[in-house]
Amino acid sequence: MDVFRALADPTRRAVFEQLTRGEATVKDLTKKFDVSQPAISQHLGALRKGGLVVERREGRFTYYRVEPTGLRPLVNWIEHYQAFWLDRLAKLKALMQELEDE
Amino acid sequence: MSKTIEVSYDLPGPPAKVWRALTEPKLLGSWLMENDIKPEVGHHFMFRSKPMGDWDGRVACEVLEVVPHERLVYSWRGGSGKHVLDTTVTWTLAAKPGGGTRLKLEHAGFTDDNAMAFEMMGRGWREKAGALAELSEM
Repeated sequence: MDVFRALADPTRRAVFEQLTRGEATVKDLTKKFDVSQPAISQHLGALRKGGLVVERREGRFTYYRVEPTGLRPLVNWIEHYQAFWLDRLAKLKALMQELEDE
Repeated sequence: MSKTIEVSYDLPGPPAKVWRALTEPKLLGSWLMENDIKPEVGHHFMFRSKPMGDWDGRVACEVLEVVPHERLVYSWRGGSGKHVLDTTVTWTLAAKPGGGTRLKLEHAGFTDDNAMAFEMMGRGWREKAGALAELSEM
């Protein structure tokens, strides 16, 4: 499962967002969201497969937290290139001014 | 549906000089990225820069159209395995009355996927994602 599909579902996205604020167990998350425990587990499973969430076991509990590098594929190319071209064209203008002054 | 970025920019100097800045590797590299461009249709070349996110910092290009001092078109392909960028860059040069050049850039072929990160995330979330992924700078 890729990152985009993992985050396509609104509840799953909300669960992920919640985890960006700190570690939580399935029980914590079930309390926060109006969803059954199996549903939360399923969302966590999908997030884990998407590389967005990692789990840690401690005693009887499993804690879930966000995997920061999981978000790396989320480069917004359009936003990136809009800023990129404006920046580079300003550099080109400076270069042209230098060439003119030669 | 595909999206295009369009920018028009006024530059000092005649189109012939701007053309040099677009087609000579050393000049082009000084304002854009390290490259091995040649203004010949069919020429394959590469832009290289710092990796960003899961992008390796490379852009693979092929020259598609060359009208000296007027128009230059090349493909612009890059991105990562899951988040591919398959676009086209078109430069159009026109002499301005009274001197200087109007340079127009069209970067076309962005898909909805290319903007997904933006549309999917609320503002706060996007900032957080940006901070986590360190994507703010190229």
